[in-house]
Amino acid sequence: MRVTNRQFVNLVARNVNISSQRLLKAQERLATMKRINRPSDDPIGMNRVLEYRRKVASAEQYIRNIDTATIRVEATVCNLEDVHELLRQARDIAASQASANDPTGRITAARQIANIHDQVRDIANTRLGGSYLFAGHATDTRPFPKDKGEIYEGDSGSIETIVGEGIRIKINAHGNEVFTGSGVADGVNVFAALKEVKTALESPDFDAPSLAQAAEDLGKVVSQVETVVSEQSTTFKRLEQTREYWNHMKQKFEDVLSKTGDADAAQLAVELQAEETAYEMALASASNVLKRNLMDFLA
Amino acid sequence: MTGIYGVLQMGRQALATQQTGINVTAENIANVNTPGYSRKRPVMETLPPVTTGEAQIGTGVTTREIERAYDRHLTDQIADESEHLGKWEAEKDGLERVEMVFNESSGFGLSQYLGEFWNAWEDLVNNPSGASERKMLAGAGETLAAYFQRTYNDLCEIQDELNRSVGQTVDAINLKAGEIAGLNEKIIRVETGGVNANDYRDSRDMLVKELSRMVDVAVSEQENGALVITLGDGNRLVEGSSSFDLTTLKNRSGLDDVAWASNPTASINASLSGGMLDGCLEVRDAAIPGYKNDLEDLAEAIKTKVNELHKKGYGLDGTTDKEFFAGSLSQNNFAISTDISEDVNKIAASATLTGLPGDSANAMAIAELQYDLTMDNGTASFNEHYIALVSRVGQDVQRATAGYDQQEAMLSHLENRRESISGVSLDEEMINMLQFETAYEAAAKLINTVDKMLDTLMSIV
Repeated sequence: MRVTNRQFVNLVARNVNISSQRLLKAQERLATMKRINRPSDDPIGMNRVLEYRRKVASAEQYIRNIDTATIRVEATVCNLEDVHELLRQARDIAASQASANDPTGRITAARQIANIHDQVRDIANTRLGGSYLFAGHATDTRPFPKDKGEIYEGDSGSIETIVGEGIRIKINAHGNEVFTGSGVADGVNVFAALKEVKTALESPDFDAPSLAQAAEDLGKVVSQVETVVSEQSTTFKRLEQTREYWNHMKQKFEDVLSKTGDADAAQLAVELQAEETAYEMALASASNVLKRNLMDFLA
Repeated sequence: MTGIYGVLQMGRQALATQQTGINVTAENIANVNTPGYSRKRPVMETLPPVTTGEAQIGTGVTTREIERAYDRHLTDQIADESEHLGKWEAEKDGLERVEMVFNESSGFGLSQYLGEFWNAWEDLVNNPSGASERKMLAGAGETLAAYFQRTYNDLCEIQDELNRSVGQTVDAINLKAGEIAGLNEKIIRVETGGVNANDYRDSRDMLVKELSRMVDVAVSEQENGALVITLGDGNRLVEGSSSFDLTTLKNRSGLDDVAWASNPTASINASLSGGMLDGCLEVRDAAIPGYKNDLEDLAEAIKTKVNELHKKGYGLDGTTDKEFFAGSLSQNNFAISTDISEDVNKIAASATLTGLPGDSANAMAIAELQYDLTMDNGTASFNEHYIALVSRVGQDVQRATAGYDQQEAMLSHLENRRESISGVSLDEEMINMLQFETAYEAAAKLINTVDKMLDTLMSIV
């Protein structure tokens, strides 16, 4: 087969071009520290990168949702524990007055009960970030306004939060459930019960059994509140666990993301070195090949 | 003629022939780097012998013809493969431009904005009456719609660029066809005189190769040396010394189709199957519309599903039956509805009128749309559908790049073979030059000898 000058030229030009293309790609990877710089670099890899980016973003959003929910649940639990304590006190006062016969004591007790009544009402009307905690969906309506007495002005809406794909958790305590006993077996209205006690204490014809009965009712309210507190505590735990889960998963997702899309610095350095060497060799061989011909040897 | 004068004649002819040899060598050397040049060889032949009484005596040498070192089949193959290369090249270029539109590698692509949109709904769930959450959601919706529209518009722009390429390529084809027709005429003229029109043929071969890269052609040579060039639909582009122009005609989408100037209302796009022209058309009329449709399907689906739920819900001010998204990509007005952009309180987070303002069930339902398998006959979510689109673009580019690289290697190999047959090797020409030079010297010496012989003869008388 004949070999001509242009064949050398073409071959050399082609080699140099191919080498420099590979060198360019290696340098690009070094500059971006990413293995995949466009979909065609690795379409399936790009697919995974986008998928996992989405998973990481989702996990972050769930964590954000959980954090917001946790604040609310904590606030609810704290408030209800205060209510619980107050009601326990009220029950003890009522019970002790029922067994004693102390008119002056009863007057003091009545005042204490009135005090407790107001505190409980205040707690029932707590707001968190401008929204009433115990009003269901009617977050802009005071659930237990003073002029309405023991009537609940909120609704029975559930506040939910998204903590996973299609997973919703209810995070509120219903004001009517806790404070008016509606929907609860053997439920008691807190304010009515406290008023009952106060009335019994202030009554000129003191009737110990009715006071004792009122004290028992208060006892029922205490367990009523307890039930909700433990419900909320369970929710709190569940939120915590879910948060940990997503934290863990987020890290795993970020790992896969890194493995798929990021370039390994050490490997890149080696690759770059190899391509540079190949390029230099292509150039060197070019100069060698193109210079020699017969004329160097003819006189 | 025999005798001394016969020998003198032979010397003269030898000088002339060897000089022709040097001439041809000189031309080869001068054209060592000319692309498309085929080296020439002088074909020397002995002149017819003369029969004298005892024997046949030769009468010398002459140059019968100057031959082009040329392989017809190879030239045809190269033209053929150039067609494929032209098509792959145009496809690769076009698709690489499309790929830039879907550049998700930096992380700020449609996928990101889609995710932020769903996240904004979840933030609203956490605080349905929150003013800042509502503003953020409206903002996220706007950004998403705007990015959708921009991506779509970018694709349309690439189609316009490709359209311009089509027009330019048609002009270039007409130009080349005209030049080939011109060369046809010259070659016919020269070769009827019995001489090889080597240089014209070289030029014409180059033109045919360049033409092939632009459009697929069938080439055949007639007896008088002229080429007949036919396009895919069987009509002649070049015949003899005439060339027939192509032109463009606007099709229904407002883009240019290819047609014959002699029949400017009939599109011949369907009959093209190679070359840059076909490649451009392929990307412009098949690949990009495919991507555009996919994008439109996605935008429409998101708009429909979100609006469906949104209309059932209630805004903070009690309004209902409002749309969240409005417009469409093809009308260049895909955006959030003016109701929402003017008053974010109309965003329907609540599922019930009585549940205001704390009810966020509608916002939750909308947020959960991101997991529903709403696309591709119920097999993919919105995000999965988009990711598949990006992946497809990447694969299409990969395929075109692989096709191009492979074709380029094949063409390179063929060109190499052509070079081997038709190319000039300086070393070889040096040797030829020595050869002819020595023969020339010998012929000169011969004439000198005859001259001396004549002198001797003269001195006898």
